[in-house]
Amino acid sequence: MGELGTLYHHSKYERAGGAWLFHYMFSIGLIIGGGTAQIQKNIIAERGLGLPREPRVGGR
Amino acid sequence: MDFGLSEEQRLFQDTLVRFLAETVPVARVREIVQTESGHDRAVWTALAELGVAGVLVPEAFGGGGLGLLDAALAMQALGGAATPAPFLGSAVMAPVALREAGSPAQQKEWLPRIALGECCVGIAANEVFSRREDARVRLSRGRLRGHSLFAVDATGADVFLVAAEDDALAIVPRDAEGLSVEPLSTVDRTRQVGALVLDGVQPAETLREGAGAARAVERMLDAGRVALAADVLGACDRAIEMSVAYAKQREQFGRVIGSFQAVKHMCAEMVAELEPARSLFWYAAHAFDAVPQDGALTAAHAKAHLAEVGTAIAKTATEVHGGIGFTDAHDLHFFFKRVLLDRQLLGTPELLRSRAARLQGWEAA
Repeated sequence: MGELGTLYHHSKYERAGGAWLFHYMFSIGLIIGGGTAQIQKNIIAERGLGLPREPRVGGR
Repeated sequence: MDFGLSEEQRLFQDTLVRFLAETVPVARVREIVQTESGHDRAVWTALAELGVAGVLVPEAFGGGGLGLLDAALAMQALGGAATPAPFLGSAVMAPVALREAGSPAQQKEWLPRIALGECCVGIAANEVFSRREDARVRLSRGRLRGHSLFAVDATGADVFLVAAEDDALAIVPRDAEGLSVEPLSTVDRTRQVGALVLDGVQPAETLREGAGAARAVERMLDAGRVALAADVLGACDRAIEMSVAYAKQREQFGRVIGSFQAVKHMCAEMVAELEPARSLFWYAAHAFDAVPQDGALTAAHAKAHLAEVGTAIAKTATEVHGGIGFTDAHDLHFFFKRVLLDRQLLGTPELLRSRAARLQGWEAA
């Protein structure tokens, strides 16, 4: 959408009520919410593929 | 031969970074973006005193007489502080256009006021490279008619440079009869983008017309693109710095998250992507002044590449922050949104890469 894709707040030039920009921003929230992508990959690797867990480290 | 920055350039940039951190921290940015004009005149005056507004204005007109690399370094600092200031329009694009196509009298009238920060210039030239919603501006019988979208630094401008069809570049005062300026709310509230409606506006004057004006418009846009590439770099530097600091401090599962390899690699990848892009905009800025035959091509590549690297970094930096990076209370989103607008302004990567292909003679027959 080029420049038009940056519009929001009911600009008269906005497309689809700003849905594209909104969903782009929201999708980044979805990568994080409910366990980040990194946590999901750990689960796939450890539970799904049976790879060993990362060793637990005490403290820092 | 030294390919790095000079001592003066480093000093200029460090001074600016310190000034912005002290005078316009993000807490102040939050206040400024709520105001009607979207920028703080006092900040711009103070920046002008530091030589920022006049960086590209020749010394004879009270400016610094410096090059686009110096201007880009300033833009990098402004991007790194998400500063709302009309630097792109007033300090980069307008001086380039006036230097290229202004008469001696026009240069004498406008350049000193730009350098002092007294005159903020908005730039309406989007239709030259990207016509949207049938926007177009025509100059006929001394009157400008039409509309122009995504004018740069529009809402706080005192005067506009308007690029009309058939290679005309006109100077239009904000209060000209028949001109209305409508703010455009974009994702990034630190920039003052607007739409101009010109209903038979009589310009104050026109710059040199024909081929001279066409070249001035191209040069002005290329300079703007290099500056936007530098803005992305500054914003990304800051986003990475915030991410690394957060990864060292935030604990999860009894460890700081930066000790997890997944998080460590995200941080390392951001740095590895950004670092080579630094010399890309340095060279584009240098070429603009010193190797003009490379100027347009390297400006397109620098802007296109940094736009893409920048959006990926903005996203990764938000991921490193987890939930907090997605909130308004945290400062990170200012840099994320700055990069998003930088990506779309003055040509998207797709548009600029087609331009680069054309410039290299690769256009399909």
